[in-house]
Amino acid sequence: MGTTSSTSALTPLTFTGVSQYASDFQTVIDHAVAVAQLPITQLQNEESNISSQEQLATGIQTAVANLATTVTDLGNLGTNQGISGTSSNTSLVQVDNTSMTAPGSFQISNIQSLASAASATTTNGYADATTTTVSSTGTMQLVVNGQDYTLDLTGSGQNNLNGLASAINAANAGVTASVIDTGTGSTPYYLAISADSTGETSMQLVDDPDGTDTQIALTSTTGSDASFQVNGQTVTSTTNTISNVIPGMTFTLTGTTTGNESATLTAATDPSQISTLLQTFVSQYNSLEQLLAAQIGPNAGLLTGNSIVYGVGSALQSVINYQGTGTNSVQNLADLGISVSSTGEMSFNQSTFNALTSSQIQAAFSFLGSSTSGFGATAGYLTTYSDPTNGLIAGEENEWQTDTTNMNNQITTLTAQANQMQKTLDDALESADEQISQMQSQQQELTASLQSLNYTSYGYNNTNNAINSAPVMSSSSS
Amino acid sequence: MSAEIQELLQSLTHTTSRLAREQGQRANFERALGERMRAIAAIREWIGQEPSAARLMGKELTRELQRNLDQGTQILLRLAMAREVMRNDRMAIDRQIQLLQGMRGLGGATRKSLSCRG
Repeated sequence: MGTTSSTSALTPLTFTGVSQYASDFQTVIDHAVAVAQLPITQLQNEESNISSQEQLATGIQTAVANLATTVTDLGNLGTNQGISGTSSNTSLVQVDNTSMTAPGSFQISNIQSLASAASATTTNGYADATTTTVSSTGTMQLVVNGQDYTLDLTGSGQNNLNGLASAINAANAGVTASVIDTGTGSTPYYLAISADSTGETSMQLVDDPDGTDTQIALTSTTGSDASFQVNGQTVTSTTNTISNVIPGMTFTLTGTTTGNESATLTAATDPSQISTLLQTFVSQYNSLEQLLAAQIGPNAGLLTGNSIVYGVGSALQSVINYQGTGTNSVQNLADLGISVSSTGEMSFNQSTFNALTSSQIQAAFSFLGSSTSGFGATAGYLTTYSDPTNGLIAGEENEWQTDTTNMNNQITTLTAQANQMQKTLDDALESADEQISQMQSQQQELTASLQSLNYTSYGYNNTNNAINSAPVMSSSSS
Repeated sequence: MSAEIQELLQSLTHTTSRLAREQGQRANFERALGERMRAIAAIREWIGQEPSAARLMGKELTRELQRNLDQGTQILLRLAMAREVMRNDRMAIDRQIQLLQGMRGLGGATRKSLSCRG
């Protein structure tokens, strides 16, 4: 028998002996090595690495995007000078949002009515919603604010209350129809129509408009417009939310006034908007910095050495080191109370910010600039990386996706190889079982021949019964 | 030794040697197995029919049969070892197919147990 040597699990064994069986065994061992060499572990590691890298990159991308949004918001504060709107009486009127760029004050008074939606219900009820005919000819007409909408009920099963409601809803007339079941009397079904939006609205329903032109009796309310005064000027609106009266301010009427009651809407600079956003900026910066730090140094994560980490770090430096131009009294983030410790942690000093004078606050707005200028424009350094479509991180993720696709292709190929190996091994095992069985049978025959010969020659059995020391295999053994 | 039994012994020795040589060649091995079986059957039949002749050449005949028996035992041992290696391969390939299926997210198709055929 030959000898074997092995240096590792994947090192092919080599029979160096001269046994006549060596070549057979070499074939078997080569096969075993082929099985072991399927690079599945390597694929698993690659899959795990890619997945982890994607997760880390996605985390950084989100953190960068959040910070970019805050920088842009700070820039927008520069545009509108941090002006926010307030109402002196929110039970009459509320300020929804303000994009004004200059302070101002507006008096809302004489709110005589709020806008409401019109509605109508057929005066007469119907016995059934699906069987009672509603039109003499199958043609009806809906008139909304003088606009005619023809309603065709001639289709099978349409000339009834349900069909009429469906036809009205399909007419896109700015109203919605439904069938009401009052459950009382012999005619419990009524048609209800309501306007989709507030404001004065007239509604008519006509049967056979080209013939008898019969009005269907409706019990209706016409709805109403909102009516109020802004600085003494009367305004009417079909809605209670008003965005086209005071430029840059949207407000909502919530109640009517009595007597001389009024509300004052004030647009004024609010420095706390800056400090609130700066606190958010600091928190987001530190979160991002921690993510980046985890990918740098001796204990770095899987993104170690990745250009994203260093690129984002560089972009961060560009943002926090931004210097304003001119002779403004606020030239950098430090002037607003922001500092970075020796360990890289950023902090915001509220006291420093609170101590800023009005002129310094104005200088702060100037420093912040807009979404495209000043400090606000530095968001661009960040979106270069975080943009979900064209950002550098998205580009990296696309490459990982390509790697994943290639890996899946490899898995498909390997699976096919493994399945083929499985089939080959099944065949070989079946064959081996049969060969062993036959071999055992022959050995038994040979042993029997020897026993027979010994009886014949010596009258006793002195056979060295080799079969007893031979391995006995059966197809069911494992 | 008579020519007949000498021929039968040669046939047995020849086929036993072929088995040793052809272990990796399935078709040849199985053909040799069949021929060896026939040779063994013929020898056994000759011993039964020619007891006197068998007694006369008992020592030499015993030696030859024992030698073939020993060689057969070696072949059987090699067959058993080779089969054991294949069985291990089969289990390894099952595990690797399971890993591959898991990596492709084929949860529903994943086998719930390993095959330990053998």
